[in-house]
Amino acid sequence: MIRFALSEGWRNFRNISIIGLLTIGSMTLTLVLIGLTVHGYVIVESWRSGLQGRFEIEAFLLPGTDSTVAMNLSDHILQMEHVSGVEFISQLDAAKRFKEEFGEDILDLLGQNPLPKSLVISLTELADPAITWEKTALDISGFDSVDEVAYDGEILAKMDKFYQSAGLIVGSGVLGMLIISITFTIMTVMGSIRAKERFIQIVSLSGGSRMMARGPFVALGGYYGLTAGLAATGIVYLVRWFLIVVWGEDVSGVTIWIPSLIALGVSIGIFVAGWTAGQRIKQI
Amino acid sequence: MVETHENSEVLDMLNVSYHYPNRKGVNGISIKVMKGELTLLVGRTGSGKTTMYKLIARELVPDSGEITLMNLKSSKLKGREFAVWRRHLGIVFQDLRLLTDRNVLENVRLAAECETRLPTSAKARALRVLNRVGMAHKMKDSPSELSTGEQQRVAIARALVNEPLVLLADEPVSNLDAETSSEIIEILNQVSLFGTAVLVATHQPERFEKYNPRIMRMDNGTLLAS
Repeated sequence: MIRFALSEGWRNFRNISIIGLLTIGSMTLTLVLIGLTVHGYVIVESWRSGLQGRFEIEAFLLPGTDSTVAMNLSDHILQMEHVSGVEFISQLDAAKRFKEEFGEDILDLLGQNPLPKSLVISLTELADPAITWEKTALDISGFDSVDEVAYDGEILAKMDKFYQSAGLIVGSGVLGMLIISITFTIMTVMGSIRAKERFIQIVSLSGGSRMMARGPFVALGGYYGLTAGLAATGIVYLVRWFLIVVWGEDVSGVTIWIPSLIALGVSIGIFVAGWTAGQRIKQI
Repeated sequence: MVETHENSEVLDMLNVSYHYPNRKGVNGISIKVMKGELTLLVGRTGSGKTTMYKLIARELVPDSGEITLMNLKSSKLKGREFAVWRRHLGIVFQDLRLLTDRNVLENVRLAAECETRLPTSAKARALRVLNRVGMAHKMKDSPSELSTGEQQRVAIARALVNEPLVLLADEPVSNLDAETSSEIIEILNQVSLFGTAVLVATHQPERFEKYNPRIMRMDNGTLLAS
């Protein structure tokens, strides 16, 4: 039965039509988009975690807070969820940081050091950064010895918004292409069934099962998916090579995704063609 | 293939009626067909012969009555029994319905692939039956390269490849010259002598006289005599 379906499906596949080419084209584009989305996600995540590593929350302590209280508070903050590290900045350290940042000695400028002691808090990688950073900063600002809390909340919120928008656009693109390729596959299989009505009749009247009549069209969908999967794999490999060699991006972690584009293409083709053949051949 | 006894009944139509929405079909048809019998169904165009064939092939479902093919009853078929029913039949269509995208051997082999229970391979059976109708030498040709008589032989080969109990042939000699027509009739007679019941729809019964067939006449959807 499988051999029959494969050989008859191949016979249909060889007589490829314009709509058949469009099916393969749209399927390829869908699979390329999926493959590139996975690669893009890996790259963006790596950028994101690199950027996040540069962000920190700084909790300025009330004037007169002694070092013991500051260290206790530091231990307490370290126990909080999402906190990965706390660094105590003394007034002397603060003066050094001022000089590093502005190139001037605060004692020379003001004759005294008014800079407060502070705790610099870094967070772990977060699923929803902006909200988590905001909540953590708010919790820290509630401690008695904390005067003020500062962090780049606005930039983080913008980053989050950018990721969400990008995800939505790419997701919509993939979904749109998927719908187009499914529509083309349905049209191709329906056209093929119409062209092969006599074949179906002969199989049916010769005592072939319904599966025998449908099988070649399911295999046809599989061949379309296989061709698109192979083409998409080639394109994604090329893009991947470009990313690694030309841009120097580390996307080695997504190697396993590339061959699965072939499996995905074949699965989409078989599923859509099987469904279409089931609907159409029932009526013949 | 199902074992049958000599002179046993293979097809029984009992009071079968079918009406199309806009025209008459067949009305109260009752016939019995025996193993190895050559039967002619004679009538003018529109007399109901093709409708009767479609009912036997289960392309149409009777409005009333019962068709029995061996031990299968048409009204009680379910699931895979539909396929089994059709495997007991070989059909030669009036328009032959040969597939032009494949050669003669592949046409016959396609039907053979549908019957998976026979011990010999589909290709071997296709070659054997092509040899039987004298078309083995043209097995690589496309049906479009063949004469009408040769196409008729291929259609018969395809109908016989699964060793059916009943062969239905719809106007098999209508477009053939006298000589080719005699050859086709000879093949059909040989088929019946080998034990297959052959039911031929024709409006030229005189061409079959030599073989003394059983004749049933149809007119206006009704069986006149048998």
